[in-house]
Amino acid sequence: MEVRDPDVELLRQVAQGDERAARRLVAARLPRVLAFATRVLGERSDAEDVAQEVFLRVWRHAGRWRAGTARFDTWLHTVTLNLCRDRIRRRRETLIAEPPDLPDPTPDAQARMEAAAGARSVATAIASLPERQKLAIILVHYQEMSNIEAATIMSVSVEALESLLSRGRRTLRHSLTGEERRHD
Amino acid sequence: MTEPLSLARFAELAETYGALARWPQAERDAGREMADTPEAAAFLARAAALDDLLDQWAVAPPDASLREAIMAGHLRPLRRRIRVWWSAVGLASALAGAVAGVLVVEADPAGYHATEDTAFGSLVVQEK
Repeated sequence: MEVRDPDVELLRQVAQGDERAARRLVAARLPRVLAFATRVLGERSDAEDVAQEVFLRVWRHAGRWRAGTARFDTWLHTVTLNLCRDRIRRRRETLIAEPPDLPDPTPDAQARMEAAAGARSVATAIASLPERQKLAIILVHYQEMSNIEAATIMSVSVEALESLLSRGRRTLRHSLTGEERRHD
Repeated sequence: MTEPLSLARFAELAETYGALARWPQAERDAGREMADTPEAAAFLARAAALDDLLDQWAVAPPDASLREAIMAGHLRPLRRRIRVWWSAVGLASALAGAVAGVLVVEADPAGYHATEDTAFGSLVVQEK
């Protein structure tokens, strides 16, 4: 089944060398790519490198993109994930999310520090999940992908995705709130 | 008409996806219809509390330098294409010039010395 893809026309213009279309595409998609890579890698500078590599591929393939069964956004996430996995393999070590940047010493520093501490504990709890549970949570909760899109990106069935999500959220509830796990 | 959900399935969806907005499209309407019942509302509230915790992990938006680095990647092949195009134009002009030069030389009759001709006759003849 062919899906309606709002990016197809933009990609056609990008392929023709339209700089304004390229800027629109970057404005629309870069924040998602960067957020996804940052959460998967747990490292901002690595995520920025990945984002650049992703867009080099976009520029290279824009002319060949055809509307089909997958949306461009799904392809973009698949490419991002593959590049993140390459990078993780190269690290050859267990991935541990870095805490978010420390806040600036401004008058509302206390509030920022509290927010940063909250963010840090969530990042650490998610980084501690098994790889596929972590990915399922990132794709569905943070990237707001549908279950079908997330399952496609992860190359699993929708049923498997639901199981990963459910187990992941249960573990996170336990680690973030201290609530006892009812069953696993 | 929307197929009603069992409370067990409602609880499962809330546990798996969190807020209704992230539920599978096919079950979202049925979920909305049930959401006001006290049992269903309790499941949603529990899911929303976890969603709120997860939302604390925000990622800063990309900065201008990253955007420009990415745009440079788009403009670079374009500039290269323009350079290649101008090089082709230059090469074509050079070739055209060379061909035209050959033709002029070919058209030049043997023994004809233009520099020795003036409006007043041939300098060579005048010296004689």
